[in-house]
Amino acid sequence: MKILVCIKQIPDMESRFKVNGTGDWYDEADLAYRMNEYDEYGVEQAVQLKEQLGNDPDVTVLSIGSDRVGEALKKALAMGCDRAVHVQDADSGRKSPYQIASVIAAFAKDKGFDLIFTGMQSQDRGSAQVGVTVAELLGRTCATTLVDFACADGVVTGKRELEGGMKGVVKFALPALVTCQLGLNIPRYPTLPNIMKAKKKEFVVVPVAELLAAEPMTVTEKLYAPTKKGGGIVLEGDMADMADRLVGILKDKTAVLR
Amino acid sequence: MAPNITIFAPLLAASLLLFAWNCYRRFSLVAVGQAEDRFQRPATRLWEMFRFAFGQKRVLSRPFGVVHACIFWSFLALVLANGEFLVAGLVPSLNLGLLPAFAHHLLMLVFDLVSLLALTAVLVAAGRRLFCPPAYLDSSYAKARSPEAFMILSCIAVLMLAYFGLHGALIELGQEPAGWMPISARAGKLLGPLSPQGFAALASFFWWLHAVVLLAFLNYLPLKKHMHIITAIPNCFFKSLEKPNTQPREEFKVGNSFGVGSVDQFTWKDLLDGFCCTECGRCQSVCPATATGKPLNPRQVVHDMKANLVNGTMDGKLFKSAQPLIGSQGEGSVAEDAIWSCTTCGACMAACPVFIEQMPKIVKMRRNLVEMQTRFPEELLNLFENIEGRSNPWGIAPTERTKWYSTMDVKPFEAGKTEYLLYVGCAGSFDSRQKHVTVALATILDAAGVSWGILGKEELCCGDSLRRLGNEYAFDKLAKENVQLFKGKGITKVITQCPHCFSTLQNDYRQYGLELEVLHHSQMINLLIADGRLQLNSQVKHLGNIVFHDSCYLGRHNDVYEAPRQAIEAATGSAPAEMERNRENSFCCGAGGGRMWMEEQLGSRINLNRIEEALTAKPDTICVSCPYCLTMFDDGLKDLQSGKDLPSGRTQVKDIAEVVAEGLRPSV
Ligand code: SF4
Ligand code: SF4
Ligand code: SF4
Repeated sequence: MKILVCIKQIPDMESRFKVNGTGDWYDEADLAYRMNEYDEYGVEQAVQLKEQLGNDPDVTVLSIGSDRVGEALKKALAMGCDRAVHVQDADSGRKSPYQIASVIAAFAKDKGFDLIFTGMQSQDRGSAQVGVTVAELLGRTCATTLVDFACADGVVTGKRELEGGMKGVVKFALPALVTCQLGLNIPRYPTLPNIMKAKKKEFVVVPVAELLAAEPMTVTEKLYAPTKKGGGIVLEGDMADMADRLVGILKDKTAVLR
Repeated sequence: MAPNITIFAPLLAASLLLFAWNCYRRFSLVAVGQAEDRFQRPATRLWEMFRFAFGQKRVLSRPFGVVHACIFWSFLALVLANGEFLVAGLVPSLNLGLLPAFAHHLLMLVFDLVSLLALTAVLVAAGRRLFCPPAYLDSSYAKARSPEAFMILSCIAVLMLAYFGLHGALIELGQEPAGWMPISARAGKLLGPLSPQGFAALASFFWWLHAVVLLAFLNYLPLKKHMHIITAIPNCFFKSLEKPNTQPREEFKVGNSFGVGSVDQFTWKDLLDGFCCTECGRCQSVCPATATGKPLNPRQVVHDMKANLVNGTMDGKLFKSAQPLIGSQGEGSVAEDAIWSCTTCGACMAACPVFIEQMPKIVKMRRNLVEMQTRFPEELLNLFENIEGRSNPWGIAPTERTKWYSTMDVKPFEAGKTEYLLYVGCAGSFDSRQKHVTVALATILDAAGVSWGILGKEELCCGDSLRRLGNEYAFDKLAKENVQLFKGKGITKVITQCPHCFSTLQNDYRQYGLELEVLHHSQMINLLIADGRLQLNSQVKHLGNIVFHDSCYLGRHNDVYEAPRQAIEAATGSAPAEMERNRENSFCCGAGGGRMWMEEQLGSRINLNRIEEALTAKPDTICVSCPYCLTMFDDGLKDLQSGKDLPSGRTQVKDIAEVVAEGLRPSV
């Protein structure tokens, strides 16, 4: 069995972000990076599946980005992936989700992956398009936002998170692509021997130009901080008077009493 | 008096062989351990051995230790007496009578008196075990009133009685001078008026009694805790010369194993410790984890290590454990929740009379759990990721590091321009309560005209919690980054407001080749007051009765006891009140060793134990010198005082910097 896990390295979401010089993405200076949380669930699930199947599956982890993404790939290797592919692209932040998906699809198309894991979305751009688009481009079965995953005899049984706290059970045969949601698993903390071993694992670097053919279908026009909304209103005084004023405001400014 | 050599010689030979064999077996088990250099600075080591083993310094730090010291010193003298006894048993002409008469007589007198001393001490010890055994003598594997204890004490008593009997009879027979052996002479009189044959028979009986008990005792030694008679003195020689919480670095090479997951991964010194334990229970009586009903007992850890070793087998040169070292298999295994209960407060090590290193063994096992098995309480996953990702335990964005000084003018450290780096530390930067302390300290430094600066957003966590929790790999990375940062900036003098940063910067980073002059803020404040650079405007009175809590990492781990007390005294005009357990006997707040970041689900809470002790001094203010202590006391007090109607008002918790800064307010 061959598994592909696609991961993205994202800035620490606790950071203070600034818009970059061209006004279309955030400024990358002074940021600390880590693996996208949802992708970490993917790595963990792939490694768990590998363990479940007696170490047979070969797990490739792929990431697109500048040199710093090597760190995220190394973490995935330490967690238990077998080989890493770094698609080198210093400008990946400004590629559209469609372009990213096409790069992945171009890489994966002739490799015979039985199962592809991606995160449900990235924590920075949050388009939630890459996984499904890869599946579409490869003509694969696809199940999104998995919170539970089981695989036996080439059949995946998964639980998807639906709106309003509902869960849906899906069952499908491999090959397939799944996207991972919070709650799927608890990503492991790699053991030190595995961190050491990771340093010796295969690590391939591919320039993005070798895989990128697609033109962007959407372009980020402008990135800006949300404009500050006006402050709240605090009503004070007599209870009945306050109630009247509240009704007035609701009538004027909202649709609830119309 | 000539014993029957044809019986005695083979008996002696057999006993000595058996003794040698048993010692060999034990010591070959010690040799299973990993290499470790414990021979550096031999002169210091000899001196320490002299003070602590022969001088019984630690033993005497507890009142009852005087009984042990009596037995020990008597033993030292009687080693000579018993040596003569055995040699003369083989070759009667080889005896102390060969010495000049004066020396011989003096020795007779000494032996006689010392035997009485030993006999008395043994009776007192037996009485204590029988009538008022302290709780800490009991453990899961040995009881205060164990038959073994009484057997050993009776052995010693019988040896002394036989000694008096033998010499009493010899005096009666006119073979020894009565004047030099007053006690034996009295014993001889008690033996009765007898015929010379009668006395000769008695002499021979006592001689054999003495011989048999002595040889039996000798052979019993290596089997149980009395092995310490042989091992404790060398163990004092091999004691760690490092600060107790500075563990050796690990080498991160592929194929290495990390930490200690099986008993043979301990060093030989660790294993020797196992054969030194006297089962005195002192470590158990001071351990905060044991005191609050947690599954950890430092004495039990040492015992389990030894049991695991002794239960194992040797397959040629290879050691095979019979059971896992870490696990819940009972005796011989150390439970994981015991390992995680340690606050690394070092009380156990400070109490142990024979310098057993309990806490470092626990940290070594933590290393194995974290690095080899990634088995640790789940709260720690977040902690590790927070420190590795954002270089602070809370996981707050590093950019927030400078928020504490929004209202002050604070300069970055610049080599050549700034004298001191104020290493704010994670708690001082992010903890909303401790930020007040940082501001207080900064105000003091400014008022005294100190040239100081900070690293600001470049500051990293010192890694204390990582190291004590056994995440040595992550600590190693952080330490290297910090050392590079400090060296690059040309930092040589540092002020910290946290004993954990203090200890890590000063002791642990030395292992990475960084020698810093680190001052805890209590020391800095004292310096400034002593120099007259810090002038207070008024005496701080409104904080009322202040009681001081010694932080383990400042006190026990770094011997700073007076500085914080003097700072308080300088500010308030009077020395702080003391808790019952103070200075090197201080009781931990419960936050050390990374416990700050873990839930305390087992047993009762350590901070409450300490706060209740503090409250017996009826303080208005509990004064601390450590951010973690501050949190633990604040939290505990809130729990204790919530919903209670306290007529005298609530006790508050202050850091020494806050107390001193109060004195900077303009006087009214
Ligand atoms: S270091 Fe403190 S908590 Fe840990 S075992 Fe020793 S006394 Fe107990
Ligand atoms: S480890 Fe030390 S303090 Fe603890 S019981 Fe043994 S000898 Fe006593
Ligand atoms: S937090 Fe305070 S009392 Fe607790 S271990 Fe540290 S220094 Fe000791």
